[in-house]
Amino acid sequence: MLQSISSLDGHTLLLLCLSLGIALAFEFVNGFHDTANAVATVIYTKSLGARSAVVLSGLCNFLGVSLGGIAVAYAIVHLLPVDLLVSVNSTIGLAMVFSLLVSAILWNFATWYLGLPASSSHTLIGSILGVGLANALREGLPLGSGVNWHKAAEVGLSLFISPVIGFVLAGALLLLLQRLLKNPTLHSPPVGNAPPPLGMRAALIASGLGVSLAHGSNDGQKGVGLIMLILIGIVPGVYAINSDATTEELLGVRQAAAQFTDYFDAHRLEIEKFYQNGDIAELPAKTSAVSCDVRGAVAASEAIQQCLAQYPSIAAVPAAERWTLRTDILCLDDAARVMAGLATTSEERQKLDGLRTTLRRPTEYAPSWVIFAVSLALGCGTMVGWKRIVVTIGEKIGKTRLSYAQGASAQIVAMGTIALADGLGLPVSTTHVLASGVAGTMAAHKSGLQMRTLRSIAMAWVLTLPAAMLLGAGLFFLFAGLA
Amino acid sequence: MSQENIDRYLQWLQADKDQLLLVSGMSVAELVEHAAALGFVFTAEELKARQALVHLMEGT
Repeated sequence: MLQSISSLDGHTLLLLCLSLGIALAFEFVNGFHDTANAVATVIYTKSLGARSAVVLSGLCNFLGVSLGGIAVAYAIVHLLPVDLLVSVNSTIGLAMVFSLLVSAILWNFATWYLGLPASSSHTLIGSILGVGLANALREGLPLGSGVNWHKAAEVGLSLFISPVIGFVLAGALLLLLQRLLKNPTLHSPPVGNAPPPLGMRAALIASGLGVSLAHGSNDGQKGVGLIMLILIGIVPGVYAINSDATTEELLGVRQAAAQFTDYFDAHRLEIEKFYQNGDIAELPAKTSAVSCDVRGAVAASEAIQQCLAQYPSIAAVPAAERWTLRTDILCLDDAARVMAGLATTSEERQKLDGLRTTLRRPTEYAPSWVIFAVSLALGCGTMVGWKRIVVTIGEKIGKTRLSYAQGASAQIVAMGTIALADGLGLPVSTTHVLASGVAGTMAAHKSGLQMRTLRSIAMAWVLTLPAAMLLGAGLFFLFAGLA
Repeated sequence: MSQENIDRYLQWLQADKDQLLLVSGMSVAELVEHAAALGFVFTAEELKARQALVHLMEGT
């Protein structure tokens, strides 16, 4: 790896360091943006001292990145259409990476500085969608082809539903606790300097740290996805494909490719019919070098088998061929995705989905140093964030109250919801999940609906998402013009 | 009694708009010092926890 990186020219090396620095800064800003939410309850209830809470939260964020896997990271990456992903090593690809990095961090930092409600997830996703659409516009393609809409719908639904789940379940859990725990102290805001009763204190600390762990696992992966886009684009010879993939994984890829050859051969006539009926869109010729097409699936699957038959491991595949191998895998996967969408039986769809998972495995990975760097940036950001809290004296701060049971209910539900999203490989806004959980407990407690929480969540959809899209698209046109 | 002291301090400030204006530019340490001088004793961490709770409840 070091040999490949040292062989880069000065300009590319500078580009690599700069973009890695920006991606890690994005994670750092994310950490300090979200510190307040993660530790507010445990410090306010005096379950833990501020220093212990912040250090433990930072550590849990650090650990969470490693424990979360990489499914969310690649859900973010795959918001971009495959044609753009296989062009990421070109100047356009680099313009894409830079514009989404710069727009995401600019918007995140500006909203933090101006005290506007924002969500890192909506910012990043908005930037990606903006860049994808701008690329389609620039290439003269239909706007619909600029984004992987199937993935975008999944991600959008996850971002939309997770706060609703947080609201309903946290409210329900509070009602349950009110029935089960009769001690009135647990249902009142903290009084004096005493910590909460032991059991509740343990629940508040455990769920608070659980929220930090879940935050690290979901938000950290967004940074991992960004860094992998950078590495694949700038050093494809090293990072295009996992050189540590096991022999079993490679065998699995070869077998999956062989089965895809048979499948696409057997469905040749059907595919032509799909093209004629318009079920599969004929895309106009593009200016970028690579284009994936369902008609090219057999060629791609044969190329994968031929390449892997020649070498005992990915490490043995010459650097120059790794990019081609990755492109073939992504194109074949995309063709299989199209066919799975048109499959008439659920068995066929399941079979295709299973083969796709096996096929993609060597392309969906993250080296341990990337996970470590993101963990460090997020953990440090969390620890710095507490120091940077600015107190704005006013009406709001004077009216804010939270009972022990409300805090615990919101945290337990947020922790569970984010962990579930991790398991499903879906990004969520941890801030929205936690805040809507608190709002749910307020509603259940008959303290009224928190309109300010609803307004913040709505702002992420009506302000952050379109603003990040416009910023991402504008920067893409600028950088692509300069390239 | 810290959170109660924060409440009393805020009530005192809100009763006098000039004082509220005066403290609006203060740092956390200055706020804590200002409050202590008036007999409202709480720590910087306790005040920050209250602000963090506002962020949490508002989803910001």
